[in-house]
Amino acid sequence: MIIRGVEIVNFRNIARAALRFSPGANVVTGKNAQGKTNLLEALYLFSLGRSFRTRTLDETVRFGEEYFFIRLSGESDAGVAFDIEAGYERGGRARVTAGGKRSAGFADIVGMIPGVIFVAEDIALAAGPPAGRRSYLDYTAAQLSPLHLAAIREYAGVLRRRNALLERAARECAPAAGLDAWDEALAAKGAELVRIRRETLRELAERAGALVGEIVGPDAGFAMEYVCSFAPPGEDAAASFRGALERARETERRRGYTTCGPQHDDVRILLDDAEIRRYGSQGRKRLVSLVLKLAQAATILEKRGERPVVILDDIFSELDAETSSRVRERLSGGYQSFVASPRPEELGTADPGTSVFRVEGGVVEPAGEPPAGPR
Amino acid sequence: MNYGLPLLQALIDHFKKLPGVGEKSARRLAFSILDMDGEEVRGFAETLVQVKERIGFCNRCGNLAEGELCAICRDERRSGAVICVVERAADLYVLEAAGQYRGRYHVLHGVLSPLDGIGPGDLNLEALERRVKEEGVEEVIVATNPSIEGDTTALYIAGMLKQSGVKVTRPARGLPMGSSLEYVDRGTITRALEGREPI
Ligand SMILES: Nc1ncnc2c1ncn2[C@@H]1O[C@H](COP(=O)(O)OP(=O)(O)O)[C@@H](O)[C@H]1O
Ligand SMILES: [Mg+2]
Repeated sequence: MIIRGVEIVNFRNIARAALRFSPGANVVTGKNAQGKTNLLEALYLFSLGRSFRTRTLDETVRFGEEYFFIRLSGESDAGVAFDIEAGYERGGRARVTAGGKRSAGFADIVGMIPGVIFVAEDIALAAGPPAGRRSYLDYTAAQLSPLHLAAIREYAGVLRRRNALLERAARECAPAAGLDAWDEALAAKGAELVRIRRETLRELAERAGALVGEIVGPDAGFAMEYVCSFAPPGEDAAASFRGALERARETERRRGYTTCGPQHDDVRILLDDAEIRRYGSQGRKRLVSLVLKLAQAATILEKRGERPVVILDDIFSELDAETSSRVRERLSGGYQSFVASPRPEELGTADPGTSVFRVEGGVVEPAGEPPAGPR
Repeated sequence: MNYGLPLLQALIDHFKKLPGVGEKSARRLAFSILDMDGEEVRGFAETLVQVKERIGFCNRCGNLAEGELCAICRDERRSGAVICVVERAADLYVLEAAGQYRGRYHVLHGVLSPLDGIGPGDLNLEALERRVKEEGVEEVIVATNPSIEGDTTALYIAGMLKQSGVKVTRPARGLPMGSSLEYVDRGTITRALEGREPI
């Protein structure tokens, strides 16, 4: 997928912008707190279906304004043009129009513009809390198929309802009527979610393994495995989940929420045949986090047949020179990228096919061109 | 803007409470009432009151009925061997309009919905269990909407009727998830009913 251009009105500190992008690297530069991340956030809204920084779109509307509007245009790898517009009014719902067709909201366009993002906190992906690895898996799966996205949402939906039932029963000291049916639904959707995650992880692990092999060497001792909190591999996940729910019933009744399920699962990552979370060096942890993201891009490209847009927000200060040049080398392998950095001179902006944008106080200008006349 | 006519404004406000009616349509409707002749308006008003007073629920299936039983339960030609379970009476009329189904119905008046505090005790489920026992039913089709609530209600019904040995089925996909029966076209409904599967 290539994003050819964007128009922005009132998003964060960007009052107005109309930009044309390079199909290769796009470097966004400027001092701190000028709006670099804001620009990337606007683009990535269309991949993630929400902001990568906040859950409340209200926060993203420019101070003192009532609405924002963003319009993306570009084309798929097959050359089919797309045009997506999103508008949001404070306190309202986002309105998204893709190809002239209204969709319900951002949540429905997840995966429409496949994307991979790397922000500074992602350095902790390989060795940080399990929640980060779960959302890494789920997000990758969602980019691969709308059916995966539906399954992820359905599990979350059933879980929320089952929790509401348990919570009320605990609060009112009453029996949770109908709980069996919710157990049944949760087990079915949970098993499906685990199946999708395992399948997605297999794809990711294959590509991550190849990358680690190239960077660290053939005997890197790298592996990734899904750790299901209630069902060992090969066992019927739905049956195991039902069993776990049965055993947890008394506890859950008392506490008023669901205590087991795929929301407690994790991915175990081994390097040098040892769990990286416990035994990896700082440098190795960062390297593997980066590899996971590159593997995500490769998986989306191969399984979906569409190049994801790659967004890197100020991560090179986190990496040593060798690692960052490796990342750039990988990316030059054909992804369109958007890279924010306060020190673009480190990024080789002179490369042909690279466009540079300078951001100051929310005003984004293509660098190298004279500033536009008075507005 | 009440034109110095508070009665007219009250009528407009009443119309605005109806689904799909905004200020402009409400005003148009109110003016068209003014244009009717007195007898007709009286009949209209009388019908509104009667509809509310005389239409209740069918004692057997929970459908709307003017007497003890609804028209479908009174119809001897319909098969009592199959019961189609729906969320609300409005869904039943959608299925009837497709003109394919010749069995009986059962209206739940809702679905299991913990977020709204609705449990099995709030639905017309006991009567369904009784009917299955007493009416020689062979199959129960659970045609609740394909939502999380609708699907889980179907699971609940399957569990509830397990002992009875009756076949419990669900219309196959074809009904898009999250869609409401009210908005699905006839062809889709027909196909979905043909491809029903055991739960
Ligand atoms: N809703 C908003 N309206 C106006 N300005 C905002 C809004 N949200 C954030 N900002 C401003 O955006 C700036 C931060 O931009 P950001 O893109 O994060 O900076 P950086 O260039 O360092 O990546 C801050 O000055 C902040 O006050
Ligand atoms: Mg920033």
